Amino acid sequence: MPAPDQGDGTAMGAAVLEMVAQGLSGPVLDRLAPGSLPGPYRVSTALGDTTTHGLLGTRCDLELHGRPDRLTAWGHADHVLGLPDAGAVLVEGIRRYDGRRVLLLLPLDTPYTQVREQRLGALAGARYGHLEVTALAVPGHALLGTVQRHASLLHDAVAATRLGLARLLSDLAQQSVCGALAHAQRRPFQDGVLAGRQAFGHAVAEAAAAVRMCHAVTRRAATASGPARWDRAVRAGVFVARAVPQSVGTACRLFGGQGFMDGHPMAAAYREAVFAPVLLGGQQRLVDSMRQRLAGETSPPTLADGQAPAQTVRQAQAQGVGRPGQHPVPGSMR
Amino acid sequence: MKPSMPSPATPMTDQPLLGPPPPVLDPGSPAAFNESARALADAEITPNLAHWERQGSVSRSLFEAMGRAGVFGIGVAVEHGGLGLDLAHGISFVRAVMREPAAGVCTSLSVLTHLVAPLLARHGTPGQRDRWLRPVLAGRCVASVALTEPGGGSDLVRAVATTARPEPDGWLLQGEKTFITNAPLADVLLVLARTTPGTSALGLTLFLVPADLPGIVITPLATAGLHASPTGRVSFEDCRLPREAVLGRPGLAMVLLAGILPEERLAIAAGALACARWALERTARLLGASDQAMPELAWWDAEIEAAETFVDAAAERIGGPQDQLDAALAKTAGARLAQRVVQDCARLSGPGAYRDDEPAPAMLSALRDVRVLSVYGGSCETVRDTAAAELLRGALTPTQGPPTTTQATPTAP
Repeated sequence: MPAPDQGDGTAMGAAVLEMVAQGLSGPVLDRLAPGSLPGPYRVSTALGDTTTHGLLGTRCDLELHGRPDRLTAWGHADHVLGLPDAGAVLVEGIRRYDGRRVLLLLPLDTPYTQVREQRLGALAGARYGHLEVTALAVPGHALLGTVQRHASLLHDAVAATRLGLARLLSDLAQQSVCGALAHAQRRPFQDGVLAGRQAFGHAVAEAAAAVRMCHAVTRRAATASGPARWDRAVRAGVFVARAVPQSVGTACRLFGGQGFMDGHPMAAAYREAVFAPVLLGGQQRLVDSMRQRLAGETSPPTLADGQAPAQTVRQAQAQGVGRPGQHPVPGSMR
Repeated sequence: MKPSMPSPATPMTDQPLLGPPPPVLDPGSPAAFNESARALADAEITPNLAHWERQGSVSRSLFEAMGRAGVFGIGVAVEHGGLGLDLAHGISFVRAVMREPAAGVCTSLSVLTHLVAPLLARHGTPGQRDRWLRPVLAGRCVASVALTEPGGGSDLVRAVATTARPEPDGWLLQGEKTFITNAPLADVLLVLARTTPGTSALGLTLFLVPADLPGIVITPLATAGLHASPTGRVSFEDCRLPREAVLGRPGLAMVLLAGILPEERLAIAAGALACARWALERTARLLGASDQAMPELAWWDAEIEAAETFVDAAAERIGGPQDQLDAALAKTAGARLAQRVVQDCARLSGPGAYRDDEPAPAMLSALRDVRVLSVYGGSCETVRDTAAAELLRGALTPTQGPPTTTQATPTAP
């Protein structure tokens, strides 16, 4: 996997594309439509918000109308990563006749599907797109099953992708802080160097602590499994999405005016970092999850169609108010 | 001379009652340890907390109960009479105690679990271990660590004015210490004194000083928080110590302390975050699920969890090359986060948070206590200086892996 490059915004975009292909589109397609596609890089993914909780900023609103043997798809999807370069798209839609959410693999080279590129000002190496679907006949082989049936697969893939992106962004923050540190050791300031100033040291220490927390919480989430992992991934993602822009912002500020020049690695890192909340999403899920626990509800963190395994319900009941997703990891002292 | 502590009528809950035997720590597994630590706190601390807060001090019976349960031996090797557990267990115990706003109790106990017992076990002579470590582990001996002085704070190396002059048969201790946790109850004091004139870090030595030695005067101090933790000022007037009072070797006090400081700082960070979590949970219950502040509370929850996870990760890496840095970052970040969260929770809770007539310690106690967590164990500013120095040192080490920009960037943060 390519590392995000502060100096070249395209590298971060490529790293994100690859992370999504390997973490989300690839595993899902391998299981649901093995061997039917040229590869995950040519397939975009547009799942619903209840499945991804805002991952990648994608919104999908698609409906399937008609009889079971003559379904047609209508709707649209926004902010779909890699869509302008894709040959097909894995989407989530609602089947009107039974109200179930289903997964579909739709071709993009038809008169009934239109793709329009969307420019988001970050991830220069990756293109976003808007998909418009109008009266597209859906053959049986394009239906890959219900979201409920494949909930574990989908949520595992979403969690893996979210954690992968969180790692990428944490690395970006680490590089930025290191960059500011290296710069300050060379930068003359009054009778010494900038790195010798106490205010600089304190600011860089604070940013470094945030970066280490990002890495710790991402690693910890990855050690969990099942619904606990899905929930932890969301929570880790929300933390990283806030902490990374702050850390990179601090690094950028400490670096000085040169770091704001277009094309400078610091400026590129800042541009990618402020996009972190869009990439990782999860804000609303975090709030809903806390509200549910306070209200004594036992719905699981991210299961589709409101179906909760008994184990998840028991876990939710056992955990204290305000301690969401903190199921002990085996061997943990938490 | 020992100070005369206030001796109000001991409450019923402070007396051993007939019934099931008091819980002891179970080192069998992490889960068993957690459960036993919680049971111990519920049985021995929570019922007495309000009384200790009003009294201004925990009672000696707390140390005895904790000693019987094995608390002071958590980080002490089995061959020295401890449980031989790692720092993660020590942190787990701190969290169990801090499920209530019991920072004062936690502070008093932590002096023994995270400082005195490990220092004695690692650096004490067999004689010192027999005389002091055994009774400390059993809860029969209360200990204090006397580092801070009236003329200094976190700048220990330069600020220590207490001297220990070599004499033919030992040492002559002279000076004054202040803000000393457990001092009014102490049987033994671990005193930092200058044994070589000047300001060198290698001129400082740790001494084991019995609190009833002639020339020692202990005066209780009234503090704005940590009411359950007895705090005092200690003066040493021509106090004669035997040669064997030195812990470790003369001149190496800072080496000993540097070895133990990361553990203490991580324990403080864990305690501070537990205090924040208590305040958060209380506020969330008070406001209810539909309150508009829920997004703010949910975010603090995620922040606390991230900081807790960092503390856990740092505890796993203790003894590694970056443990000083990890502990410094965790301590400052944890203490500052806790202070912010507790203050904001009090704000959201309204005037009720400031009530001083609650039957049990509540938000006001947390609000008072959380302030000092950014002071002891090294003030946040001083500790951030340490962290910055460590980061700069790390920045000079070679980059690991290929550089990703035209300039090689270091990897310290």
